[in-house]
Amino acid sequence: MEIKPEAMAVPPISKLKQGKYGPVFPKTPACYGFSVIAKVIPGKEEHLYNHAKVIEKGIAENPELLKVLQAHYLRWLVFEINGEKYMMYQGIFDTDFDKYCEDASLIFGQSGIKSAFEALEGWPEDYATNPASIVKFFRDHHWPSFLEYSEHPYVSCEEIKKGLNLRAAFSEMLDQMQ
Amino acid sequence: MEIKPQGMAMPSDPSTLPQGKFGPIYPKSPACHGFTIIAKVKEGREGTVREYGNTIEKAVAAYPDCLAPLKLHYLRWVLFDIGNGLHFMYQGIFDTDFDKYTEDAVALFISLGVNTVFENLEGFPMDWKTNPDAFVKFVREHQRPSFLEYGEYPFFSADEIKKALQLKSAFTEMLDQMQ
Repeated sequence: MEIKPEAMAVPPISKLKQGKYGPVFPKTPACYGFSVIAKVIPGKEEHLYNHAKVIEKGIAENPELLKVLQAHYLRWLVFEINGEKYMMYQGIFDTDFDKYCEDASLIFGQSGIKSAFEALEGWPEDYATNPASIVKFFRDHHWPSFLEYSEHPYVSCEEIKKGLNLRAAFSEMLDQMQ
Repeated sequence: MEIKPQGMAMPSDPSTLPQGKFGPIYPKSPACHGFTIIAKVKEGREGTVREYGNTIEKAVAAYPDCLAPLKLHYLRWVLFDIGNGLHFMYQGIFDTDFDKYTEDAVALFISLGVNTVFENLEGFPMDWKTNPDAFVKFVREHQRPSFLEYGEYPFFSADEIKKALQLKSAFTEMLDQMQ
């Protein structure tokens, strides 16, 4: 098998099919993903930084905490435009956009992730009992890419982890044969 | 070997980081190295920026290894307008450190003889081909570091991942041939 890097110019929203909650974002060489941007409620920025330590600890204690999301990589950051602070949540994952949002809503209560979003303007107060409101928030604040690229296109997390495990096992076997 | 997903709270104050040639040295996280560069698009350039998406798609289809020197995992380019004008965002996850990535990118663009999409962004130095330090400075000034990063298969390089996938594929093929 030859793994060929691939790039894809992503069609604009107006050309996408409509799904349950809105346009169906296509799978690209960089899998599914999003870039969710929302304004930070003034004074809540420090709350976000403290929250990062909570998440780090939560995952250290239970590495499978976010497993249901099938995420490759996640990044949270705060940036400023014209004196206003925004948080951005970047994700690369294997489920489609809406399933990711629905799955995320299930684990918010368990993981404490909820508190990060509670620092954002527009986050639905009834999210714990209304998963559709979370999907709507993510959709309303998502900015789709117009170009995506991957060095190992379309490969899922599970495939990557299985490959890495197999390679490690094979390496161990060869060591034992010495 | 057990692959354990990992999250890492990143230092929120860059002044606490060790200083490198061009500024603070951002640590490698479970999501490898990376950046999120955000800059305002020059007036009237949206179409040109979007067209770069098609150009890159075609270039990589013709020469899949054309971006190999950058040691990338993933790249995403996004345009957004949250009420302060159109902004361009360049998200990258890669294996080299921040400054090396930038230096390699400058060298790559020059060697390919191509212009960069960054030329359509406000504040970008148009003399970047002869002034690579100005390119690095622009990238650093527009970098927005993460405060939290997560990797499901933390710290593995793209090369290791590709080798693992190729080995798995070869092993599958071998088992098929043994049937």
